[in-house]
Amino acid sequence: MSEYSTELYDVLRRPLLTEKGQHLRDSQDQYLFEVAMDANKIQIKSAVEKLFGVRVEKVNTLVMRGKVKRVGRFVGKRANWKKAVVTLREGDFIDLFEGA
Amino acid sequence: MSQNHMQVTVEDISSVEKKVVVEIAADAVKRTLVKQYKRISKTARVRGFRPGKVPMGLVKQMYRGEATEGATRELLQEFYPAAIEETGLSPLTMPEIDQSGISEGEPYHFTLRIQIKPEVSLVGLDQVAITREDAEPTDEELNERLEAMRQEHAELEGVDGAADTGHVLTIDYSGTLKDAEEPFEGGTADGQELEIGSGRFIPGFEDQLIGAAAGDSRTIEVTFPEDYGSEDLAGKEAIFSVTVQAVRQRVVPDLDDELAKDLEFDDLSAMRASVYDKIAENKRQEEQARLRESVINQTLSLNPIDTPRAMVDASLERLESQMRTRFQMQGMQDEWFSQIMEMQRPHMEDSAKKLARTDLVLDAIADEQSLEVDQADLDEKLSEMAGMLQMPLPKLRAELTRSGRIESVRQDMLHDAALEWLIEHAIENAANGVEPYEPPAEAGQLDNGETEVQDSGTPSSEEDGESESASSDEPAVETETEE
Repeated sequence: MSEYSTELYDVLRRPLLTEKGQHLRDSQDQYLFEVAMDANKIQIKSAVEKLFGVRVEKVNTLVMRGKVKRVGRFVGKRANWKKAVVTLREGDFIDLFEGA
Repeated sequence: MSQNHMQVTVEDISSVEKKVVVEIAADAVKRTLVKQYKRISKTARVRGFRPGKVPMGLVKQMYRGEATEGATRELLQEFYPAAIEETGLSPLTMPEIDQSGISEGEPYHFTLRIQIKPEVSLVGLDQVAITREDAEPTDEELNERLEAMRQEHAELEGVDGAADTGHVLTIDYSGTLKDAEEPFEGGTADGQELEIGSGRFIPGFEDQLIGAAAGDSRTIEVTFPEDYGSEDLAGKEAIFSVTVQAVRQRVVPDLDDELAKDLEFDDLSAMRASVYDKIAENKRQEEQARLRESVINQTLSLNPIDTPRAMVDASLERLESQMRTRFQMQGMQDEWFSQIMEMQRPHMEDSAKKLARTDLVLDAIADEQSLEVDQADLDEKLSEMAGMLQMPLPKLRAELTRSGRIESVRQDMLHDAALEWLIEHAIENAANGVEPYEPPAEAGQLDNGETEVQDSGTPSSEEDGESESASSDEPAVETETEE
């Protein structure tokens, strides 16, 4: 992967569908995504705007630490990943369940 | 309320088949679908959510198939009986269901192909006529049977001196082909019994033993026939060396009290009476079978009725299970039976069709004549069956009631009664000078060949008569084989 990936899907890995995310969505127009570790807020903002045709108010990111997992006596660590909380301009929304 | 959401249209396909189109309104479809999604969302497990907390949109996306399936089932369950009720038809089998896909906000269609019993109103019953024939055995038949019994009990008795035609020889033999040293395979035997004149051995062999006495040895030269079963031997000349061990002849016992006692009768006149009764009983049964067959055939040719496929299939199944029982009693393996059935099935189609039509006719007669089977008759029949199956009556009754076969027993009895009525009616007609109904020549267009089976002498009618009489026992037999 190139250092400055401009491909939209390389930035936005997938929407994060969780109960917490649902709550944020319903109450504050915020959407959660798993994004590439090397993506910055500017890239994320433009990716969301292009992909969903919405206007982004702001982007917060955080790095989720991978969990330590063990299989018997072997200890391993899951990869870290970056989570983005995207706040949309009021009135805009993303349909996460297309066609349903 | 289902009526408000449903539209039913009936189209005739034939007198035994209807097409029913059911349309269910969009709001009923939606209601059912939503119900399904709600049900699923209670238990759906999706990562990131606790069970029961998954957003509806996600449930709809992930479980569309399951919900559609469930909704279809629910809609059918809800509307199918109502739809049938609205048509007023009584389907013989589970109808074939043909359905469109289900989708929210659109009405849902399904099409039923329903097989029904045709409305049968019988015509021409006054043209059915038959005369019961005398079933008393003639002296000739009686004597013939007695003679046969005598012959069966013939004994072999030793003969002094030369063998002659009709004598039974016990021989050892060994055969060699003319230009060979060693006896050929299968050409040697010890203690073989051979009746001279029976023609069981190759031509010339038996003749050359005439005049031989016990203890004699003879050399016999014969030529195997050209069409002999074994190719190695056909047409070859062979020499047999034969040793006669014993010469015996058949001695047929006299028809007297002694023979009667041997056969466990009190005396000759008792034997005569018993044989007479047996022949009379046989003839009565044959006559009854002939009457049944004939009145049924006449009635069927007068009333060309459509038979629903389901009834024909049921008859086929009945025939098959009868055959299976019969073959099993003969010890045939199931595997062979299946093979035989594969071959036989196409031929059984016609018999099955005829059985189905017969059932319809008998139903109609029972209906028109308001024949009924009351509890006492049924009880009598059941205890008869219990005796035959060597099963305690209460157990049999419980078994039949549980499997619902008791109704088919009742049905069979009703059919028997209807058949009896038909026979009596036909006899009455004949007494009033009605000639038995002969179908016109082009009656071949009826899908059955029953017009050919007018007289009882043909083998096929005998067979049919048998299956007819066996049918009343059939439910019980099935019960047994299922266990």
